[in-house]
Amino acid sequence: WRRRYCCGGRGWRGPEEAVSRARTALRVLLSKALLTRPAIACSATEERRLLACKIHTSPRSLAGSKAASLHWTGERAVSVFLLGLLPAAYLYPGPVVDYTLAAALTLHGHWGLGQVVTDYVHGETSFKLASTGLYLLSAVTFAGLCYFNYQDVGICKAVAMLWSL
Amino acid sequence: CAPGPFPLWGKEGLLCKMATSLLRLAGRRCLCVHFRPGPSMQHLAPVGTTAKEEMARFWDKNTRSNRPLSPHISIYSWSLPMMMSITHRGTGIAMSLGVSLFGLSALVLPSHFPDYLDFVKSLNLPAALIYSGKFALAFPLTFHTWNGIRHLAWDMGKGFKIPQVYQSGVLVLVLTVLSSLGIAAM
Amino acid sequence: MAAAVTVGRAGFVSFRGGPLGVAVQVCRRAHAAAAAAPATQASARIKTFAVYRWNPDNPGEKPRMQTYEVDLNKCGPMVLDALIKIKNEMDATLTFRRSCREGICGSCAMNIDGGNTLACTKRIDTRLSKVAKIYPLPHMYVVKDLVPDLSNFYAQYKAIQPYLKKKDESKQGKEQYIQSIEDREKLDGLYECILCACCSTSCPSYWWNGDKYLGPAVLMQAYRWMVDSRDDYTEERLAQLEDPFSLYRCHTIMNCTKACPKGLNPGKAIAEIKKMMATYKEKAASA
Repeated sequence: WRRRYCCGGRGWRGPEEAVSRARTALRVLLSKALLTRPAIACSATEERRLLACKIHTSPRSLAGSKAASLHWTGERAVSVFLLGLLPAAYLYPGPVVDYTLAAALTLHGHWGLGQVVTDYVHGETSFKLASTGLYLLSAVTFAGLCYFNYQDVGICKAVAMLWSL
Repeated sequence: CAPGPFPLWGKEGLLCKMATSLLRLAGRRCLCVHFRPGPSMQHLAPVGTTAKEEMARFWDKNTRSNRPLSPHISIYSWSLPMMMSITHRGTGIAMSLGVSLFGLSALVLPSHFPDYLDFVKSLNLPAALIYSGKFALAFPLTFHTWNGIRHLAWDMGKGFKIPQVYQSGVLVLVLTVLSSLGIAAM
Repeated sequence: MAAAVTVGRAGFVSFRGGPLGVAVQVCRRAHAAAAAAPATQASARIKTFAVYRWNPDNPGEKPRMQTYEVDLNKCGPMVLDALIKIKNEMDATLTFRRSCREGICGSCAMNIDGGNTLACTKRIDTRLSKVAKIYPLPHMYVVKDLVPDLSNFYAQYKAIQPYLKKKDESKQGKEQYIQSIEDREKLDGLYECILCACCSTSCPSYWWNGDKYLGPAVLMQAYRWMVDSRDDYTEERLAQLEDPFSLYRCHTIMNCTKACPKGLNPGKAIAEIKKMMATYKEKAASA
């Protein structure tokens, strides 16, 4: 009866070997590398959970892409650049500063509003809609500012004129 | 090891004990662990859930439950750093929309900028109103700028102790008021 | 004026005889008399506690606030003492987590008077005119009364693999992994986290994006492992955060450091991660 319970039909080669196999099995089981999917799937409930996985976990781009950290660095770089532009606009008003200001202002605002959209707009379709809207807004803004610089007095002069009221 | 008479002593007993504790370890619904000695472990199902699976189960369970969400913004006490943080966002959004409006107007409106300014001059608004208007325009710009510098200092890793957060916050507010008053007077 | 002054063991100074000694004796007796009699006659100091209640077993019930009155003269000084007193003497159905009662297990984390802390280390505000408001940790699914569902929080912690990972595992268990004193000091202020979730649930970004943003507690632990000199997977740990949500929903609001009941600084840790993210050179970061 011992063989019936502990044999498994593969041949009983003695208790020592079984014990050492048991030890290996224990080590294998407890190894953290083995946290894989269960051998027996649980079908419907498991699939629903996997779908929820896709919705609720963060989208990972290709392994090795530094897009997110580069974006962060870019945001700080533009901020510092814009900070330097403010005294430059006061001290050296003119077309160069005007167009640079239009670009930096639009980009800083676009990225800032982008963070707002990412924070508050949830859901794939809503997010796509809001992002498209934002791109449109920034494009129109930049176009408008460049048009103003070209056809009208330019940003620096406009501010000076407004302040002379 | 099925229940029933089986030896608790000796090497077979040890084998049974280890199998039982393995079964207990594998105690999760949906998993059947068959422990058989043999060269291949193909009947052994690894146990445990991944972090991803646990998160999915959390959202699955809670969204279909009737559990309420504990109150947050309505009960959390406001502090100066919290208020300044949302103001930084608010001034940023306001100025962005203002600049966008300006750009859009440049494309849409018929006249040139000096003409519109002349119109405003013709209204002969009182000086106090003009000053207030300039102050209202300068305030978000100066707040966002000084607080922006505070953010850049944080990005360098500086000023994270709580007293420093409050000190830098008060400094930003003082600089904002002073520079707004100064710029409005120009 | 002859007073015998002796300095006993442990440096205690005692006055025996002499006017000073007598004065001390008189004072002591007076104090004892004062303490003995009016304890029973002292008027009760009644403090009102308004506690968030919700029972999943009552269908259709909405969350409500229930008030309890506690005599502070008959209660320990901490909010947890009051909660336990309420549960023992007034309302056994009041449900909350607690264990160590000494600020080390993290079970009793909740929102008290608008701020997240541990109930066992938060002193009751003795101003009787103010109602003490007790809520569960903010923006969490409520299991019952003051008990939130923290399984997502724990899953997020699991996701950052909070254990030592070596490239060469062959030496595991043979001898210590040597760490200099300077390297060990880098872990101070990081390892002491008790995972109470006070910081993460105080973060508005975690409120709005708790599904994809890891939150300050988990991020500080990620940093703890990045900065551990014995760990070989720093770059992979950094690469894991390369997406718009896991790390970058932090906008330095700094509610986290303000809330931490252990005095730790998750906001600073996150800033250090961001710096590392900007500067690490990508080698063969295969996950």
